[in-house]
Amino acid sequence: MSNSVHFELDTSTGDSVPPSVCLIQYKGLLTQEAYEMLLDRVEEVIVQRTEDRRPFRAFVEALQNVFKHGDVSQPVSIWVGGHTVCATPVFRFVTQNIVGHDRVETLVNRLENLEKYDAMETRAALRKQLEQGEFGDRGGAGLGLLTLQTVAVRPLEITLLDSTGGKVLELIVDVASQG
Amino acid sequence: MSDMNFSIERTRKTPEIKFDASTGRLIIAGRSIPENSIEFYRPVIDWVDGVVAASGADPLRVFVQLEYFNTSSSKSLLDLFKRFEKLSTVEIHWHYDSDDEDMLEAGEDYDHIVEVPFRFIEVEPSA
Repeated sequence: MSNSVHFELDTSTGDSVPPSVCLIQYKGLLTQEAYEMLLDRVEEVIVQRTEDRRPFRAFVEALQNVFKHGDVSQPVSIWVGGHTVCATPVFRFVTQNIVGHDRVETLVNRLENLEKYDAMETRAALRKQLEQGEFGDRGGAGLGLLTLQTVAVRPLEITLLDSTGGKVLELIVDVASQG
Repeated sequence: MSDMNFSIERTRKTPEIKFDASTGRLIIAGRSIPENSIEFYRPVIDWVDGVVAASGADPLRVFVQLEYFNTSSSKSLLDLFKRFEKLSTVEIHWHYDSDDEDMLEAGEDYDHIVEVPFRFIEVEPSA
């Protein structure tokens, strides 16, 4: 396992979003065991009512995004936090993982498209991708980031930083419960 | 007809999928969040291809009662639903909890894409 990757998590946004309380944090290889444990733990912590299924679904997508685009032989960082806005629970998911050189271009293209869309266009793009998209080599259907964008309470924060072996992808998603 | 029956038990990450040829009911229930939805749905799609070719499930009523599904599964479900277009009498009953607008919206997306009649069934949340 490479130790050349160092993640520094800064979950403050510098804007009006209140700071999130850390609920769950994981750093290390995203093994099957770790993946299962994270799903179990996050569902247990988040889903108290049907309305809370939305953030849990978003977490599943964020986590599977790491599998679909990331180099899972490298350590990842997963951070889950929560705060409330007008009494509505809002959850923050932060994932950091290495993306291999061979997948960076595809990812960058997707991110560039994502930035262009407003809410209606994101919804339309999601439906179009569902209808016309094909499965990728890792079983993804190009729907994960679009789906996260449709349920997030503010635009996704996505950063690609240079790293040995590829790029470090940092994804920050804020999702509120439904209703 | 009973050889047309089909059954997969639910797990923590994959749904129960059952077809009873005597009633023409196909039930998809539970959660569908496998990492590899292609692998999970392949036998289901193969089975559907078989019964559609043999007209063994016509008429068919499909009851979708999902709690969660990931985007990879959403694509596999679409592949499944598109196959039902070949049947002459088919209806998809899309169940959603009354306070789960995401699930309703997902069903509406399928209704928009797939040329099969959808019925939306609102249910009270169980928990």
